[in-house]
Amino acid sequence: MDPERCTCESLRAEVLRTAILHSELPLPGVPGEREALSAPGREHLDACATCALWRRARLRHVAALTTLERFGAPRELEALVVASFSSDSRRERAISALTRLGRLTTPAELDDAMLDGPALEGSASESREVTETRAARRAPRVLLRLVAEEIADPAKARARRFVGSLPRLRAVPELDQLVERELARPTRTHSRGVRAAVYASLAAAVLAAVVGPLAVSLLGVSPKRYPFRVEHVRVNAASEFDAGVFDAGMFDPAKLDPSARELLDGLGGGILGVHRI
Amino acid sequence: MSSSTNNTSLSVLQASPALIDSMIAAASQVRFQGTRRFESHWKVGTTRYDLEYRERVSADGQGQFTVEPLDLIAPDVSTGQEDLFLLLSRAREGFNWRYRDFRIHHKPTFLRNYEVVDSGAIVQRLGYDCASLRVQRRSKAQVVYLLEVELGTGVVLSCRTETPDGALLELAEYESFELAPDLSQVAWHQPAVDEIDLVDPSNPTEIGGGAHQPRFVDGAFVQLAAQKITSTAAQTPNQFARYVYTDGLEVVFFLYGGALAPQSAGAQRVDDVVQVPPSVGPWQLVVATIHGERLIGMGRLNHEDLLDLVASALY
Repeated sequence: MDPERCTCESLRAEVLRTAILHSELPLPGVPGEREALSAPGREHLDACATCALWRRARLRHVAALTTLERFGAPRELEALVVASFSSDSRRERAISALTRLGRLTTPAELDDAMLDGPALEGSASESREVTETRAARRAPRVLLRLVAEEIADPAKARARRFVGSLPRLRAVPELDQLVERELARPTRTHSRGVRAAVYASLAAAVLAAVVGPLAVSLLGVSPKRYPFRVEHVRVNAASEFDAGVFDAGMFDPAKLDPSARELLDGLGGGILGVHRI
Repeated sequence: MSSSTNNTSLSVLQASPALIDSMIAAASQVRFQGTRRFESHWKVGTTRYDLEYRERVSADGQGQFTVEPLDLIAPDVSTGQEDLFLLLSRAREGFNWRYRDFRIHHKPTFLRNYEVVDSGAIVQRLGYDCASLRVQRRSKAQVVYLLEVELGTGVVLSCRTETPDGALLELAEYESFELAPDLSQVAWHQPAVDEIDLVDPSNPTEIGGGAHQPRFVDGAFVQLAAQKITSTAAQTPNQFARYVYTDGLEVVFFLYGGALAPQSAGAQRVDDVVQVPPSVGPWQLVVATIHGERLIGMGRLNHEDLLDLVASALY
Protein backbone atom coordinates (compact mmCIF):
# COMPACT_ATOMS: atom_id res chain seq x y z
CA MET A 1 0.00 0.00 0.00
CA ASP A 2 1.22 3.43 -0.91
CA PRO A 3 1.88 5.18 2.36
CA GLU A 4 0.83 8.51 0.93
CA ARG A 5 -2.54 7.13 -0.03
CA CYS A 6 -3.47 5.15 3.12
CA THR A 7 -6.72 6.73 3.98
CA CYS A 8 -9.27 5.71 6.56
CA GLU A 9 -11.20 3.93 3.86
CA SER A 10 -8.27 1.92 2.63
CA LEU A 11 -7.15 1.11 6.13
CA ARG A 12 -10.57 -0.16 7.05
CA ALA A 13 -10.73 -2.29 3.93
CA GLU A 14 -7.38 -3.78 4.78
CA VAL A 15 -8.48 -4.54 8.32
CA LEU A 16 -11.57 -6.38 7.14
CA ARG A 17 -9.75 -8.24 4.43
CA THR A 18 -7.08 -9.35 6.84
CA ALA A 19 -9.61 -10.39 9.46
CA ILE A 20 -11.63 -12.42 6.99
CA LEU A 21 -8.69 -14.11 5.35
CA HIS A 22 -6.96 -14.79 8.60
CA SER A 23 -9.78 -15.55 10.94
CA GLU A 24 -7.40 -17.34 13.23
CA LEU A 25 -5.72 -14.05 14.18
CA PRO A 26 -5.99 -13.08 17.79
CA LEU A 27 -8.23 -10.29 18.94
CA PRO A 28 -7.10 -6.67 18.83
CA GLY A 29 -4.53 -5.80 21.38
CA VAL A 30 -3.05 -9.24 21.49
CA PRO A 31 0.52 -9.45 20.22
CA GLY A 32 0.76 -10.46 16.56
CA GLU A 33 -2.40 -8.86 15.40
CA ARG A 34 -0.94 -5.49 14.29
CA GLU A 35 1.85 -7.20 12.41
CA ALA A 36 -0.69 -8.66 10.02
CA LEU A 37 -1.31 -5.13 8.68
CA SER A 38 0.94 -3.36 6.19
CA ALA A 39 3.39 -0.67 7.38
CA PRO A 40 1.34 2.25 6.01
CA GLY A 41 -1.68 0.75 7.59
CA ARG A 42 0.02 0.59 10.95
CA GLU A 43 1.18 4.19 10.58
CA HIS A 44 -2.35 5.36 9.78
CA LEU A 45 -3.68 3.34 12.67
CA ASP A 46 -1.30 5.06 15.03
CA ALA A 47 -2.30 8.44 13.70
CA CYS A 48 -6.09 8.01 13.42
CA ALA A 49 -7.92 7.45 16.67
CA THR A 50 -11.25 6.99 14.89
CA CYS A 51 -9.90 4.21 12.71
CA ALA A 52 -8.28 2.61 15.71
CA LEU A 53 -11.63 2.54 17.53
CA TRP A 54 -13.42 1.28 14.45
CA ARG A 55 -10.87 -1.44 13.99
CA ARG A 56 -11.23 -2.80 17.49
CA ALA A 57 -15.02 -2.95 17.14
CA ARG A 58 -14.94 -4.69 13.77
CA LEU A 59 -12.39 -7.23 14.84
CA ARG A 60 -14.58 -8.15 17.80
CA HIS A 61 -17.49 -8.59 15.39
CA VAL A 62 -15.45 -10.88 13.17
CA ALA A 63 -14.25 -12.92 16.13
CA ALA A 64 -17.79 -13.29 17.43
CA LEU A 65 -19.11 -14.44 14.08
CA THR A 66 -16.28 -16.87 13.44
CA THR A 67 -16.68 -18.49 16.83
CA LEU A 68 -20.40 -19.13 16.40
CA GLU A 69 -21.38 -22.77 16.68
CA ARG A 70 -21.71 -24.43 13.31
CA PHE A 71 -24.90 -26.29 12.61
CA GLY A 72 -24.66 -29.35 10.46
CA ALA A 73 -27.15 -30.14 7.76
CA PRO A 74 -29.93 -32.44 8.94
CA ARG A 75 -29.36 -36.11 8.23
CA GLU A 76 -32.46 -36.28 6.11
CA LEU A 77 -30.95 -33.83 3.68
CA GLU A 78 -28.42 -36.33 2.42
CA ALA A 79 -31.08 -38.97 1.87
CA LEU A 80 -33.33 -36.48 0.12
CA VAL A 81 -30.53 -35.37 -2.13
CA VAL A 82 -29.74 -38.94 -3.09
CA ALA A 83 -33.43 -39.69 -3.62
CA SER A 84 -33.82 -36.68 -5.85
CA PHE A 85 -31.39 -38.25 -8.30
CA SER A 86 -33.37 -41.46 -8.53
CA SER A 87 -35.27 -42.16 -11.71
CA ASP A 88 -38.61 -42.20 -9.91
CA SER A 89 -37.97 -38.81 -8.40
CA ARG A 90 -36.87 -37.34 -11.70
CA ARG A 91 -39.95 -38.78 -13.36
CA GLU A 92 -42.19 -37.29 -10.71
CA ARG A 93 -40.59 -33.90 -11.13
CA ALA A 94 -40.97 -34.14 -14.91
CA ILE A 95 -44.63 -35.07 -14.60
CA SER A 96 -45.20 -32.27 -12.14
CA ALA A 97 -43.54 -29.78 -14.47
CA LEU A 98 -45.53 -30.95 -17.48
CA THR A 99 -48.85 -30.78 -15.70
CA ARG A 100 -48.13 -27.26 -14.62
CA LEU A 101 -47.60 -26.21 -18.20
CA GLY A 102 -50.35 -24.13 -19.61
CA ARG A 103 -52.63 -25.86 -22.09
CA LEU A 104 -52.68 -24.48 -25.55
CA THR A 105 -55.93 -24.45 -27.38
CA THR A 106 -55.91 -25.43 -31.00
CA PRO A 107 -56.69 -22.60 -33.30
CA ALA A 108 -59.95 -22.76 -35.14
CA GLU A 109 -58.05 -22.67 -38.42
CA LEU A 110 -56.65 -26.13 -37.67
CA ASP A 111 -60.10 -27.61 -37.52
CA ASP A 112 -60.93 -25.91 -40.78
CA ALA A 113 -57.81 -27.24 -42.41
CA MET A 114 -58.61 -30.77 -41.27
CA LEU A 115 -62.23 -30.79 -42.18
CA ASP A 116 -62.01 -28.45 -45.10
CA GLY A 117 -64.93 -26.50 -43.74
CA PRO A 118 -66.25 -24.43 -40.87
CA ALA A 119 -65.09 -25.55 -37.38
CA LEU A 120 -68.54 -25.30 -35.76
CA GLU A 121 -70.36 -28.63 -35.84
CA GLY A 122 -73.95 -28.61 -36.87
CA SER A 123 -73.80 -25.19 -38.34
CA ALA A 124 -76.00 -24.48 -41.26
CA SER A 125 -73.09 -23.90 -43.55
CA GLU A 126 -71.41 -27.22 -42.69
CA SER A 127 -71.14 -29.35 -45.79
CA ARG A 128 -72.58 -32.82 -45.98
CA GLU A 129 -69.15 -34.21 -46.60
CA VAL A 130 -67.90 -32.69 -43.41
CA THR A 131 -70.86 -34.06 -41.50
CA GLU A 132 -70.28 -37.56 -42.87
CA THR A 133 -66.61 -37.33 -42.09
CA ARG A 134 -67.43 -36.36 -38.53
CA ALA A 135 -69.77 -39.29 -38.18
CA ALA A 136 -67.15 -41.64 -39.53
CA ARG A 137 -64.73 -40.52 -36.88
CA ARG A 138 -67.07 -41.51 -34.02
CA ALA A 139 -66.34 -44.70 -32.18
CA PRO A 140 -68.00 -47.75 -33.73
CA ARG A 141 -71.05 -49.09 -31.91
CA VAL A 142 -69.33 -52.45 -31.31
CA LEU A 143 -66.81 -50.67 -29.15
CA LEU A 144 -69.59 -49.37 -26.98
CA ARG A 145 -70.91 -52.90 -26.59
CA LEU A 146 -67.50 -54.27 -25.73
CA VAL A 147 -66.89 -51.60 -23.14
CA ALA A 148 -70.30 -52.25 -21.61
CA GLU A 149 -69.54 -55.99 -21.39
CA GLU A 150 -66.19 -55.27 -19.78
CA ILE A 151 -67.79 -53.07 -17.17
CA ALA A 152 -70.63 -55.50 -16.48
CA ASP A 153 -68.37 -58.51 -15.86
CA PRO A 154 -64.66 -57.67 -15.77
CA ALA A 155 -63.60 -61.17 -14.66
CA LYS A 156 -65.34 -62.82 -17.60
CA ALA A 157 -63.82 -60.35 -20.01
CA ARG A 158 -60.35 -61.00 -18.65
CA ALA A 159 -60.87 -64.75 -18.82
CA ARG A 160 -61.95 -64.44 -22.46
CA ARG A 161 -58.87 -62.41 -23.30
CA PHE A 162 -56.65 -64.89 -21.46
CA VAL A 163 -58.05 -67.86 -23.32
CA GLY A 164 -57.73 -66.01 -26.58
CA SER A 165 -54.05 -65.44 -25.95
CA LEU A 166 -53.28 -69.09 -25.28
CA PRO A 167 -51.04 -70.64 -27.91
CA ARG A 168 -52.92 -72.64 -30.46
CA LEU A 169 -52.00 -76.28 -30.49
CA ARG A 170 -51.39 -77.96 -33.75
CA ALA A 171 -52.85 -81.38 -34.36
CA VAL A 172 -50.30 -84.14 -34.20
CA PRO A 173 -49.27 -85.58 -37.59
CA GLU A 174 -50.59 -88.99 -36.57
CA LEU A 175 -54.12 -87.62 -36.65
CA ASP A 176 -54.07 -87.43 -40.45
CA GLN A 177 -52.75 -90.96 -40.67
CA LEU A 178 -55.46 -92.23 -38.32
CA VAL A 179 -58.16 -90.52 -40.31
CA GLU A 180 -56.86 -91.79 -43.64
CA ARG A 181 -56.58 -95.30 -42.28
CA GLU A 182 -60.12 -95.12 -40.94
CA LEU A 183 -61.47 -93.83 -44.20
CA ALA A 184 -59.60 -96.43 -46.22
CA ARG A 185 -61.71 -99.22 -44.83
CA PRO A 186 -63.68 -100.70 -47.73
CA THR A 187 -66.95 -101.20 -45.79
CA ARG A 188 -67.39 -97.54 -44.95
CA THR A 189 -69.43 -95.07 -46.96
CA HIS A 190 -67.27 -92.01 -47.13
CA SER A 191 -69.93 -89.37 -47.04
CA ARG A 192 -68.94 -85.91 -46.19
CA GLY A 193 -70.77 -86.10 -42.89
CA VAL A 194 -68.97 -89.30 -41.88
CA ARG A 195 -65.61 -87.78 -42.70
CA ALA A 196 -66.41 -84.74 -40.61
CA ALA A 197 -67.57 -86.87 -37.69
CA VAL A 198 -64.44 -89.00 -37.84
CA TYR A 199 -62.19 -85.97 -37.90
CA ALA A 200 -64.10 -84.38 -35.02
CA SER A 201 -63.97 -87.43 -32.76
CA LEU A 202 -60.30 -88.12 -33.36
CA ALA A 203 -59.42 -84.48 -32.95
CA ALA A 204 -61.33 -84.38 -29.67
CA ALA A 205 -59.39 -87.38 -28.38
CA VAL A 206 -56.04 -85.87 -29.32
CA LEU A 207 -57.05 -82.49 -27.93
CA ALA A 208 -58.03 -84.02 -24.60
CA ALA A 209 -54.69 -85.79 -24.34
CA VAL A 210 -52.83 -82.57 -25.02
CA VAL A 211 -54.97 -80.06 -23.12
CA GLY A 212 -55.81 -82.36 -20.23
CA PRO A 213 -52.56 -81.82 -18.34
CA LEU A 214 -52.89 -78.07 -18.88
CA ALA A 215 -56.42 -78.09 -17.45
CA VAL A 216 -55.27 -80.21 -14.50
CA SER A 217 -52.51 -77.77 -13.75
CA LEU A 218 -54.92 -74.83 -13.96
CA LEU A 219 -57.28 -76.57 -11.55
CA GLY A 220 -54.35 -77.00 -9.20
CA VAL A 221 -55.11 -80.67 -8.67
CA SER A 222 -51.69 -82.19 -9.35
CA PRO A 223 -49.25 -79.88 -11.05
CA LYS A 224 -46.24 -82.18 -10.72
CA ARG A 225 -45.65 -85.09 -12.99
CA TYR A 226 -45.04 -88.50 -11.46
CA PRO A 227 -44.11 -91.86 -12.95
CA PHE A 228 -47.60 -93.07 -12.08
CA ARG A 229 -51.12 -91.87 -12.54
CA VAL A 230 -52.48 -89.73 -9.73
CA GLU A 231 -56.20 -89.81 -9.07
CA HIS A 232 -57.81 -87.43 -6.67
CA VAL A 233 -60.78 -89.50 -5.74
CA ARG A 234 -64.35 -88.79 -4.93
CA VAL A 235 -66.21 -91.34 -2.91
CA ASN A 236 -69.95 -91.41 -2.38
CA ALA A 237 -72.14 -93.81 -0.52
CA ALA A 238 -73.32 -95.55 -3.64
CA SER A 239 -70.16 -96.37 -5.54
CA GLU A 240 -66.63 -97.63 -5.21
CA PHE A 241 -63.61 -95.45 -5.69
CA ASP A 242 -63.79 -93.73 -8.99
CA ALA A 243 -61.57 -91.14 -10.53
CA GLY A 244 -63.10 -87.82 -11.10
CA VAL A 245 -63.03 -84.21 -10.17
CA PHE A 246 -62.07 -83.63 -6.58
CA ASP A 247 -65.19 -83.23 -4.46
CA ALA A 248 -64.31 -83.17 -0.79
CA GLY A 249 -67.86 -82.55 0.26
CA MET A 250 -68.96 -86.05 -0.73
CA PHE A 251 -66.10 -87.95 0.88
CA ASP A 252 -66.94 -90.76 3.29
CA PRO A 253 -63.96 -92.11 5.28
CA ALA A 254 -65.79 -95.42 5.62
CA LYS A 255 -64.84 -96.13 2.03
CA LEU A 256 -61.14 -95.81 2.71
CA ASP A 257 -58.81 -98.76 2.57
CA PRO A 258 -59.51 -100.65 5.83
CA SER A 259 -55.91 -100.58 7.05
CA ALA A 260 -55.65 -96.89 6.34
CA ARG A 261 -58.94 -96.27 8.09
CA GLU A 262 -57.80 -98.20 11.17
CA LEU A 263 -54.59 -96.22 11.30
CA LEU A 264 -56.35 -92.88 10.90
CA ASP A 265 -58.89 -93.82 13.52
CA GLY A 266 -56.12 -94.58 15.98
CA LEU A 267 -54.33 -91.34 15.27
CA GLY A 268 -57.51 -89.45 16.09
CA GLY A 269 -58.23 -91.37 19.27
CA GLY A 270 -61.06 -93.26 17.64
CA ILE A 271 -62.70 -90.21 16.11
CA LEU A 272 -63.78 -91.97 12.94
CA GLY A 273 -64.90 -95.22 14.52
CA VAL A 274 -66.98 -93.65 17.28
CA HIS A 275 -69.42 -92.28 14.71
CA ARG A 276 -70.04 -95.72 13.26
CA ILE A 277 -70.33 -97.82 16.40
CA MET B 1 -37.42 -48.80 29.17
CA SER B 2 -40.34 -50.19 31.18
CA SER B 3 -40.35 -53.65 32.66
CA SER B 4 -43.24 -54.69 30.44
CA THR B 5 -41.21 -53.74 27.40
CA ASN B 6 -38.31 -55.74 28.80
CA ASN B 7 -40.54 -58.80 29.03
CA THR B 8 -41.72 -58.28 25.46
CA SER B 9 -38.22 -57.98 24.08
CA LEU B 10 -37.25 -61.24 25.80
CA SER B 11 -40.39 -63.11 24.81
CA VAL B 12 -38.91 -64.95 21.81
CA LEU B 13 -36.70 -67.46 23.56
CA GLN B 14 -35.61 -70.86 22.43
CA ALA B 15 -36.53 -73.49 24.96
CA SER B 16 -33.59 -74.56 27.04
CA PRO B 17 -31.88 -77.84 26.08
CA ALA B 18 -32.39 -79.07 29.62
CA LEU B 19 -36.14 -78.64 29.34
CA ILE B 20 -36.23 -80.51 26.02
CA ASP B 21 -34.12 -83.32 27.52
CA SER B 22 -36.51 -83.59 30.44
CA MET B 23 -39.49 -83.76 28.08
CA ILE B 24 -37.85 -86.64 26.19
CA ALA B 25 -36.95 -88.49 29.37
CA ALA B 26 -40.31 -87.96 31.10
CA ALA B 27 -42.03 -90.86 29.32
CA SER B 28 -39.61 -93.40 30.78
CA GLN B 29 -38.30 -91.77 33.93
CA VAL B 30 -41.19 -90.02 35.67
CA ARG B 31 -43.61 -91.87 37.92
CA PHE B 32 -46.99 -90.23 37.73
CA GLN B 33 -50.71 -90.70 37.27
CA GLY B 34 -53.39 -88.31 36.12
CA THR B 35 -56.80 -87.93 34.53
CA ARG B 36 -56.65 -86.30 31.13
CA ARG B 37 -59.32 -84.93 28.84
CA PHE B 38 -58.74 -85.65 25.17
CA GLU B 39 -60.52 -83.74 22.41
CA SER B 40 -60.24 -84.21 18.69
CA HIS B 41 -61.87 -81.98 16.06
CA TRP B 42 -61.42 -82.99 12.45
CA LYS B 43 -62.84 -81.87 9.17
CA VAL B 44 -63.24 -84.33 6.35
CA GLY B 45 -64.38 -82.44 3.31
CA THR B 46 -67.31 -80.44 4.59
CA THR B 47 -68.13 -82.88 7.39
CA ARG B 48 -67.01 -82.18 10.92
CA TYR B 49 -66.03 -84.96 13.33
CA ASP B 50 -65.75 -84.28 17.05
CA LEU B 51 -64.61 -86.55 19.84
CA GLU B 52 -64.12 -85.89 23.52
CA TYR B 53 -63.41 -88.37 26.29
CA ARG B 54 -61.48 -88.81 29.53
CA GLU B 55 -58.63 -91.19 30.13
CA ARG B 56 -56.35 -92.09 32.99
CA VAL B 57 -52.66 -92.06 32.19
CA SER B 58 -50.16 -93.85 34.41
CA ALA B 59 -46.41 -94.37 34.11
CA ASP B 60 -44.06 -96.14 36.51
CA GLY B 61 -40.92 -94.22 35.60
CA GLN B 62 -39.29 -97.35 34.20
CA GLY B 63 -40.90 -97.53 30.80
CA GLN B 64 -44.24 -99.12 31.69
CA PHE B 65 -47.44 -97.21 31.03
CA THR B 66 -51.20 -97.39 30.61
CA VAL B 67 -53.68 -95.13 28.87
CA GLU B 68 -57.07 -96.21 30.16
CA PRO B 69 -60.19 -94.54 28.71
CA LEU B 70 -62.74 -93.68 31.41
CA ASP B 71 -65.80 -92.13 29.83
CA LEU B 72 -66.99 -90.75 26.53
CA ILE B 73 -68.15 -87.14 26.65
CA ALA B 74 -68.92 -86.48 22.97
CA PRO B 75 -70.54 -87.60 20.71
CA ASP B 76 -73.62 -88.62 22.60
CA VAL B 77 -74.10 -92.39 22.15
CA SER B 78 -75.85 -95.19 23.97
CA THR B 79 -74.28 -96.94 26.95
CA GLY B 80 -73.51 -100.01 24.90
CA GLN B 81 -71.86 -97.95 22.20
CA GLU B 82 -69.84 -96.08 24.78
CA ASP B 83 -68.63 -99.33 26.35
CA LEU B 84 -67.58 -100.59 22.95
CA PHE B 85 -65.74 -97.38 22.22
CA LEU B 86 -63.90 -97.53 25.54
CA LEU B 87 -62.93 -101.12 24.89
CA LEU B 88 -61.56 -100.30 21.44
CA SER B 89 -59.69 -97.30 22.82
CA ARG B 90 -58.07 -99.44 25.50
CA ALA B 91 -56.82 -101.74 22.79
CA ARG B 92 -55.14 -98.75 21.19
CA GLU B 93 -53.34 -97.53 24.31
CA GLY B 94 -49.90 -98.45 22.94
CA PHE B 95 -50.60 -96.58 19.74
CA ASN B 96 -51.95 -93.61 21.68
CA TRP B 97 -48.90 -93.49 23.94
CA ARG B 98 -46.36 -93.77 21.12
CA TYR B 99 -47.93 -91.92 18.21
CA ARG B 100 -51.08 -89.99 19.15
CA ASP B 101 -49.71 -88.12 22.14
CA PHE B 102 -47.10 -85.41 21.88
CA ARG B 103 -43.74 -87.10 22.01
CA ILE B 104 -40.27 -86.13 20.81
CA HIS B 105 -39.16 -89.28 19.04
CA HIS B 106 -35.67 -88.40 17.93
CA LYS B 107 -33.84 -85.46 19.46
CA PRO B 108 -31.28 -84.52 16.75
CA THR B 109 -33.86 -84.66 14.00
CA PHE B 110 -36.34 -82.78 16.15
CA LEU B 111 -33.89 -79.97 16.84
CA ARG B 112 -33.05 -79.77 13.14
CA ASN B 113 -36.65 -79.64 11.95
CA TYR B 114 -38.47 -77.80 14.70
CA GLU B 115 -38.47 -74.50 16.49
CA VAL B 116 -39.39 -74.50 20.16
CA VAL B 117 -40.18 -71.06 21.48
CA ASP B 118 -40.49 -70.47 25.21
CA SER B 119 -42.79 -67.59 26.07
CA GLY B 120 -40.69 -66.96 29.16
CA ALA B 121 -43.82 -66.99 31.33
CA ILE B 122 -44.38 -69.54 34.06
CA VAL B 123 -47.98 -70.71 34.09
CA GLN B 124 -49.76 -72.63 36.79
CA ARG B 125 -51.59 -75.82 35.99
CA LEU B 126 -52.97 -78.02 38.75
CA GLY B 127 -50.64 -76.33 41.18
CA TYR B 128 -47.51 -77.08 39.17
CA ASP B 129 -45.18 -74.50 37.61
CA CYS B 130 -45.12 -74.98 33.88
CA ALA B 131 -43.22 -73.54 30.97
CA SER B 132 -45.38 -72.29 28.08
CA LEU B 133 -43.95 -73.49 24.78
CA ARG B 134 -44.84 -73.17 21.13
CA VAL B 135 -43.53 -75.94 18.86
CA GLN B 136 -43.69 -75.63 15.11
CA ARG B 137 -41.90 -77.13 12.15
CA ARG B 138 -39.39 -74.74 10.62
CA SER B 139 -40.84 -75.24 7.14
CA LYS B 140 -44.14 -76.48 5.70
CA ALA B 141 -45.73 -76.62 9.15
CA GLN B 142 -49.10 -78.38 9.02
CA VAL B 143 -49.79 -78.07 12.74
CA VAL B 144 -48.68 -75.98 15.70
CA TYR B 145 -48.30 -77.32 19.24
CA LEU B 146 -48.94 -75.15 22.28
CA LEU B 147 -47.61 -76.87 25.37
CA GLU B 148 -47.57 -76.41 29.12
CA VAL B 149 -44.65 -78.46 30.42
CA GLU B 150 -44.17 -79.18 34.11
CA LEU B 151 -40.81 -77.65 34.91
CA GLY B 152 -39.69 -80.21 37.43
CA THR B 153 -40.28 -83.36 35.41
CA GLY B 154 -40.83 -82.37 31.76
CA VAL B 155 -44.28 -83.97 31.64
CA VAL B 156 -46.59 -82.23 29.18
CA LEU B 157 -49.63 -81.29 31.24
CA SER B 158 -51.43 -79.60 28.37
CA CYS B 159 -51.00 -80.01 24.65
CA ARG B 160 -53.07 -77.99 22.25
CA THR B 161 -52.69 -78.86 18.56
CA GLU B 162 -53.82 -76.23 16.10
CA THR B 163 -53.68 -75.53 12.39
CA PRO B 164 -51.29 -72.72 11.46
CA ASP B 165 -54.25 -70.33 11.30
CA GLY B 166 -55.41 -71.19 14.82
CA ALA B 167 -58.19 -73.76 14.40
CA LEU B 168 -58.19 -76.33 17.20
CA LEU B 169 -57.45 -79.87 16.06
CA GLU B 170 -56.71 -81.67 19.29
CA LEU B 171 -56.46 -80.98 22.98
CA ALA B 172 -54.92 -83.25 25.63
CA GLU B 173 -55.10 -81.62 29.03
CA TYR B 174 -54.66 -83.09 32.49
CA GLU B 175 -57.49 -82.43 34.91
CA SER B 176 -55.68 -84.07 37.79
CA PHE B 177 -52.04 -84.98 38.18
CA GLU B 178 -50.00 -86.66 40.89
CA LEU B 179 -46.28 -87.39 41.02
CA ALA B 180 -44.98 -90.64 42.53
CA PRO B 181 -48.41 -92.03 43.42
CA ASP B 182 -49.29 -95.55 44.50
CA LEU B 183 -49.48 -97.56 41.26
CA SER B 184 -49.79 -101.02 42.74
CA GLN B 185 -53.25 -101.57 41.27
CA VAL B 186 -52.39 -100.55 37.73
CA ALA B 187 -52.50 -103.12 34.93
CA TRP B 188 -49.68 -102.14 32.64
CA HIS B 189 -49.81 -102.12 28.86
CA GLN B 190 -48.96 -105.37 27.09
CA PRO B 191 -47.67 -105.28 23.49
CA ALA B 192 -50.22 -106.35 20.90
CA VAL B 193 -49.73 -109.87 19.63
CA ASP B 194 -50.50 -108.84 16.07
CA GLU B 195 -47.58 -106.40 15.90
CA ILE B 196 -44.19 -108.03 15.41
CA ASP B 197 -40.94 -106.18 14.83
CA LEU B 198 -39.38 -106.98 11.48
CA VAL B 199 -36.03 -108.70 11.72
CA ASP B 200 -34.73 -106.97 8.60
CA PRO B 201 -36.82 -103.93 7.68
CA SER B 202 -35.26 -103.75 4.23
CA ASN B 203 -36.30 -107.33 3.48
CA PRO B 204 -39.47 -108.17 5.39
CA THR B 205 -39.68 -111.89 4.79
CA GLU B 206 -42.37 -111.92 7.43
CA ILE B 207 -44.80 -110.65 4.80
CA GLY B 208 -43.28 -112.69 2.02
CA GLY B 209 -41.22 -110.24 0.05
CA GLY B 210 -38.92 -107.29 -0.22
CA ALA B 211 -40.34 -103.92 0.74
CA HIS B 212 -39.91 -100.55 -0.83
CA GLN B 213 -38.96 -97.84 1.57
CA PRO B 214 -39.08 -94.13 0.79
CA ARG B 215 -35.87 -92.23 0.45
CA PHE B 216 -35.81 -89.06 2.46
CA VAL B 217 -33.80 -86.05 1.52
CA ASP B 218 -30.93 -84.92 3.75
CA GLY B 219 -32.00 -87.01 6.72
CA ALA B 220 -35.23 -85.08 7.15
CA PHE B 221 -36.79 -88.25 8.54
CA VAL B 222 -35.41 -91.25 10.39
CA GLN B 223 -36.96 -94.69 10.78
CA LEU B 224 -38.68 -95.15 14.08
CA ALA B 225 -40.19 -98.61 13.80
CA ALA B 226 -40.73 -101.42 11.35
CA GLN B 227 -43.33 -104.05 12.20
CA LYS B 228 -45.49 -106.68 10.65
CA ILE B 229 -49.11 -106.04 11.44
CA THR B 230 -52.12 -108.17 10.76
CA SER B 231 -55.23 -106.29 9.85
CA THR B 232 -58.50 -107.36 11.41
CA ALA B 233 -60.39 -106.31 8.30
CA ALA B 234 -61.32 -108.84 5.65
CA GLN B 235 -59.12 -107.72 2.84
CA THR B 236 -56.30 -108.95 0.68
CA PRO B 237 -53.55 -108.66 1.64
CA ASN B 238 -54.24 -108.50 5.37
CA GLN B 239 -50.65 -108.52 6.51
CA PHE B 240 -48.63 -105.37 6.14
CA ALA B 241 -45.17 -104.16 6.89
CA ARG B 242 -45.72 -100.93 8.75
CA TYR B 243 -42.83 -98.50 8.63
CA VAL B 244 -42.91 -95.49 10.87
CA TYR B 245 -40.68 -92.55 10.14
CA THR B 246 -40.29 -89.41 12.16
CA ASP B 247 -38.98 -85.93 11.58
CA GLY B 248 -38.29 -85.81 15.28
CA LEU B 249 -41.89 -85.16 16.29
CA GLU B 250 -44.36 -85.92 13.51
CA VAL B 251 -44.70 -89.43 12.20
CA VAL B 252 -45.20 -90.70 8.68
CA PHE B 253 -46.57 -94.16 8.13
CA PHE B 254 -45.96 -96.43 5.22
CA LEU B 255 -47.91 -99.63 4.99
CA TYR B 256 -46.39 -101.98 2.48
CA GLY B 257 -48.73 -104.76 1.55
CA GLY B 258 -46.63 -106.80 -0.83
CA ALA B 259 -48.09 -108.41 -3.92
CA LEU B 260 -51.82 -108.22 -4.37
CA ALA B 261 -53.90 -111.31 -4.96
CA PRO B 262 -54.15 -112.28 -8.64
CA GLN B 263 -57.06 -110.55 -10.26
CA SER B 264 -59.90 -112.61 -11.66
CA ALA B 265 -60.17 -113.03 -15.38
CA GLY B 266 -62.12 -110.29 -17.01
CA ALA B 267 -61.67 -107.85 -14.14
CA GLN B 268 -60.39 -104.47 -15.13
CA ARG B 269 -56.79 -104.23 -14.16
CA VAL B 270 -55.91 -101.12 -12.19
CA ASP B 271 -52.18 -100.66 -12.07
CA ASP B 272 -49.64 -97.92 -11.49
CA VAL B 273 -52.08 -95.57 -9.90
CA VAL B 274 -51.95 -93.57 -6.71
CA GLN B 275 -55.25 -92.52 -5.28
CA VAL B 276 -55.35 -89.38 -3.19
CA PRO B 277 -58.43 -89.07 -0.99
CA PRO B 278 -59.26 -85.77 0.66
CA SER B 279 -57.40 -85.05 3.86
CA VAL B 280 -58.82 -86.56 7.01
CA GLY B 281 -58.40 -83.91 9.64
CA PRO B 282 -54.74 -82.91 9.49
CA TRP B 283 -53.72 -86.22 7.88
CA GLN B 284 -52.94 -86.69 4.22
CA LEU B 285 -53.26 -90.11 2.73
CA VAL B 286 -52.21 -91.82 -0.49
CA VAL B 287 -53.10 -95.34 -1.58
CA ALA B 288 -50.80 -96.69 -4.29
CA THR B 289 -51.20 -99.79 -6.42
CA ILE B 290 -48.09 -100.05 -8.51
CA HIS B 291 -46.58 -103.06 -10.29
CA GLY B 292 -49.10 -105.26 -8.51
CA GLU B 293 -47.99 -104.09 -5.10
CA ARG B 294 -49.84 -102.00 -2.59
CA LEU B 295 -48.44 -99.11 -0.59
CA ILE B 296 -50.26 -96.72 1.73
CA GLY B 297 -48.63 -93.52 2.86
CA MET B 298 -49.96 -91.30 5.59
CA GLY B 299 -48.67 -88.24 7.37
CA ARG B 300 -49.19 -84.65 8.32
CA LEU B 301 -47.59 -83.52 5.12
CA ASN B 302 -49.03 -81.85 2.09
CA HIS B 303 -50.09 -84.40 -0.48
CA GLU B 304 -47.33 -83.49 -2.94
CA ASP B 305 -44.64 -84.33 -0.38
CA LEU B 306 -46.39 -87.62 0.26
CA LEU B 307 -46.50 -88.40 -3.45
CA ASP B 308 -42.79 -87.62 -3.67
CA LEU B 309 -42.13 -90.16 -0.92
CA VAL B 310 -44.19 -92.80 -2.71
CA ALA B 311 -42.31 -92.13 -5.92
CA SER B 312 -38.98 -92.41 -4.12
CA ALA B 313 -40.04 -95.75 -2.64
CA LEU B 314 -41.23 -97.35 -5.82
CA TYR B 315 -39.00 -95.91 -8.57
